Amino acid sequence: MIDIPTIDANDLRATPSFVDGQLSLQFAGSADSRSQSAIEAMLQRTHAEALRLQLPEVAVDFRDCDFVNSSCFKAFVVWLEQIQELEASKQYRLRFYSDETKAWQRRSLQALSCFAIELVHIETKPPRARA
Amino acid sequence: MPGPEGLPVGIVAQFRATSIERLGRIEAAWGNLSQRIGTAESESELFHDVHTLKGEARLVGFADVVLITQRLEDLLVAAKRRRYRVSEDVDVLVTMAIQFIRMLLRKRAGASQGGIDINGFLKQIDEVLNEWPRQSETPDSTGGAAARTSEPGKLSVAVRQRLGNVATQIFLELVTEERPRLRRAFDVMAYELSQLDAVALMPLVRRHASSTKDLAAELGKEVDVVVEGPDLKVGVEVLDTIHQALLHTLRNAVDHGIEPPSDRSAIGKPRRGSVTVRIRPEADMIAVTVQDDGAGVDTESIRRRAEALGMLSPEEAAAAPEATLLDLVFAPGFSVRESASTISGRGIGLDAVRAGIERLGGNISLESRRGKGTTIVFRLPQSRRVIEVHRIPSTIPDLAFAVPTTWTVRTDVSAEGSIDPVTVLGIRRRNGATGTAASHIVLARDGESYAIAIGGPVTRVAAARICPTSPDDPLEVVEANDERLLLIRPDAFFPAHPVSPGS
Repeated sequence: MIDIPTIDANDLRATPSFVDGQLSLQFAGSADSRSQSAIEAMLQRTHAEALRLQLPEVAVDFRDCDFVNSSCFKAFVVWLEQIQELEASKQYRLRFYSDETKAWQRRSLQALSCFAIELVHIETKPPRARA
Repeated sequence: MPGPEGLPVGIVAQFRATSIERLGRIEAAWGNLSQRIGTAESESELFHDVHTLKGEARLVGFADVVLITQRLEDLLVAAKRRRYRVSEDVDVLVTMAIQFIRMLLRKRAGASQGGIDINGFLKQIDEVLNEWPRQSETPDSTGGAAARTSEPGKLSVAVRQRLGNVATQIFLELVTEERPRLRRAFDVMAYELSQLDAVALMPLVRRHASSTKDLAAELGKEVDVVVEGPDLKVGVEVLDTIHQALLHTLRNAVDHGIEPPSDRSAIGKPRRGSVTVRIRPEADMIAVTVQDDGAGVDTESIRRRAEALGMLSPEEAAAAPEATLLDLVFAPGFSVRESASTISGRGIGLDAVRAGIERLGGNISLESRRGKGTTIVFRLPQSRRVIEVHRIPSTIPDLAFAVPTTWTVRTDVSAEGSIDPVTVLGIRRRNGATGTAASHIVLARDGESYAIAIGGPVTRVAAARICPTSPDDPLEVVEANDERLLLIRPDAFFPAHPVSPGS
């Protein structure tokens, strides 16, 4: 069981899942300033759960995400910095799934990875078929 | 006196605290301006804060902060030109640049940082600056202020870009026909365009030599600093990078390389140490050598540090040859705080130096012999701006296109709706030349996509902008691995060139 809130408001849907030992956050829609505090809360809880479960990695799937604005993206930077602050033995990696056709994802995520190239892994995939 | 080595810890701490406060103001001002609710006063304070941060970082020797702040300033200037009508991903990048600087300022020396990739971050900013979305360009309300020059005798960017456009037109004429006189005209024009930004290098080197002697005197050391070489001209960006590299390498040479006079005498060396800065032209590159006859780098302490940081396993550390260990001092995230007596007090200078040099298409190497001294050589193009592009062979021989890597390439596509840029450009094959069998790709970015015919596999290369044109121009000539490529900006090129039968 994981204790991470779901977000479903203001054009953004973010769903946590924990399957086969893999903790994932799936984002869909657009994240603007209205979603900032919800994202911050979600990432804080995710951080706590990743530490509690001693996970080596957390996945974040952006493929269905149309945009994340600067203040929301900053929450991911803060999250990454929190991981960096941990002792090496407690640090976990972030694996981002991005849609290769969305240039903003590539640019933003590559910039994020430069903060800690050993902690951020980006996997680029074709767009997911929408239901 | 530049450099943190001679500075009291309190001054560096003060710099960090003041700068973090400054970044808070910068972030708030940017937030307002990007939402177009900022005032002229807050804009003025924003630029003042950024400029001051850069200057202070330079003074205390935080080269990595200087590099990122410089590019942040470039981004802000470009955004200002567009009256802050920037796309949201540019807003994200500005915000992240501010966060990146904040992280560098807060970085605890000696702590594990994962790897910070300064060069990678600079590339992201460069991509935006090189390929700013053309639709966000705002015409100048004065009807030409942008074309005016800020300094007498200097050509404005707009005029240079127009000359770049003329050079591109000449290049197009040369694709289909070998015309030696026109070829020479193009070569001359490309060279002259590259020289427009050029400034003399030697005054900068002499200033560094003088500062190095001052630093040595402060540290109680006796050092001769010799400067050798011709007075070459380099691009402004290259000059700034050389400035950063000399700042670090000369400071390290005097502080950590050259031994105190009594120590030198005790081991049979002359009391006075020697540091030589040698400038040498190498084809279109410039090589700068900084050589000292000091103690050399303590590779054993690097070995221990690399193992402690987890960069090498115990087995790898034990087996690592000296060259591998020396190369580690340039690695992102290699904090050498514990080996401050061997390389650098702050421990983050050399990765930033290498990042700056590689970003311009240069390289840096270090050789050292324990007890004998250290030699650092950095090579840079004399005047270049480099961008990453997809190299795309055309359907005719002797011509390859380039497309910025901000565009993604999809290869699994059919010929349906595909456009051949060769046809669009009206380029006729030379007499007797046969075309290359075409395959097809799709170039995609932000919802725009264009299918094009190509003549071979697509590769990714770094290309020098030998005669830059405006981001609004559909074409530009770039150079990669001694080959000239015709750069296409798809969003400007294809809408302006509708394909018509027989064109």
